[in-house]
Amino acid sequence: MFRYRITALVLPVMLLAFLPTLAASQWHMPLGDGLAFPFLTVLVVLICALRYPGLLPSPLVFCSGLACDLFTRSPLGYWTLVMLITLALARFAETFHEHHGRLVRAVSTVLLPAFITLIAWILASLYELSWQPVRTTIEGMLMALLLLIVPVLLLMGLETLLITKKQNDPSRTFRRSRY
Amino acid sequence: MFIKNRHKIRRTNLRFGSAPNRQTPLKGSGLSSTLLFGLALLALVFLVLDKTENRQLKKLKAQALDLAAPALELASVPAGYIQRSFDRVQSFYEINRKFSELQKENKRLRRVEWNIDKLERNNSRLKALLNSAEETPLKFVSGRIISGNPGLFGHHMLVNVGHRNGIHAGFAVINSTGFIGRTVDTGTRTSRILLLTDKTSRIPITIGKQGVRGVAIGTGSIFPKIDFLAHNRRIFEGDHVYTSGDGGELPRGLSIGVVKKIDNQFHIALVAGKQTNEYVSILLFDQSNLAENQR
Repeated sequence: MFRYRITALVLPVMLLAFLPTLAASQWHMPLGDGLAFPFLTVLVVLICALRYPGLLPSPLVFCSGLACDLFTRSPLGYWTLVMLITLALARFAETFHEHHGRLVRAVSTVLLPAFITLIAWILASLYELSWQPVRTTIEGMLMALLLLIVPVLLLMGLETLLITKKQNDPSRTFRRSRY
Repeated sequence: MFIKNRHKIRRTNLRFGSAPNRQTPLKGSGLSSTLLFGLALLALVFLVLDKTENRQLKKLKAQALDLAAPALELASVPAGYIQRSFDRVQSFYEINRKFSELQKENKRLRRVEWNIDKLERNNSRLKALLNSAEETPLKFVSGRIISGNPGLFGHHMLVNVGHRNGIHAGFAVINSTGFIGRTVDTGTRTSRILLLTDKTSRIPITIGKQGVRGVAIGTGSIFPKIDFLAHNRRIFEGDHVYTSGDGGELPRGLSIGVVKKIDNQFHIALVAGKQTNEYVSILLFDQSNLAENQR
């Protein structure tokens, strides 16, 4: 139980601290170079907020955003604001999902990344006081969506590993309710 | 009411790592929302301070980057490895074409070498006749790029050399092919480089054999624009572009690229191209030092 809790707490911290560091490096992505990794961090925030509610406190997201801003040399507060808006959106979406059917839930989940892209683009344009290239922003998000498979697989693997470790673990309730 | 209660229980159970029946406060409650709103407001304040180029914030950012430099350096290692692997695969597929190109270039370079040799001899003879002073050789410091992706907010790079290596703001930065930008912020262990391609970059240049003066203006693309050309002076596509050294900020004669005409406007096709190099050199060019040396 203790080990489970520790791992569950360490997981998002590790992901949120690790990804901004990766975002700083030159990866020479075919699309959206420079935006793919910050957007990937945003998407991980979204997924963690939807899948593990309560494990992602806003100060943690704030710190992750600041790290992302610093390492990618973006204006301080830009990715922080995008991530906090994403967290707020995820919390709203969760409440929204409780009262709607599967189809509405699926559609709203698909629309969330598009909405986040729009917010990121508007914020960038407001900061620069001129329209920023929409294409670059969209390409960055698309690349991030492609890369998302890696952290998702990692999370799924970890979940499976932890759940099969202890049969009396509260995560069984989690599994029943989520899968 | 029933649905509401069920919703509460489910949400409590969903908490990863908490006991299933324990009643924990719901997230999204008043306190949590206030905290989120407060942090968003703080982020907005940071954004405004950044826009106004607050000096304290700049200093704080440089210090934070200094602290994070080892982690960034570590993260740049796999990125560099992946980049080299891609380059290797790419060059493997282009090996035949490159071989014939290199053969042609080799022939051309032999001719150029012969010409350079002749010009060097002429140059030293003329220098001896004029009794001109020797130029002070430029010292440089090489550093590894630890962070550098073009994003929405300009083209910058971060290198792992700073104050302790003698780097100050305004120094010219070159890679193996030519001039790429200049240092703008320096920390103890890191320096930020503003690339030629950044929208805020302005570099005084000379173009072609005539030495036409102008300014290279960053456009955010890989082709900086040429502007402020001297009146009645003409330049042509393919002319070489160098730093002019006007204003005393940068050394004279650093290769930038060649003139390229795009949409009836003159641009520069950079010799450095896309910044794929892992290492850059920062030229320790300080006018005051030069003046002291010459005294």
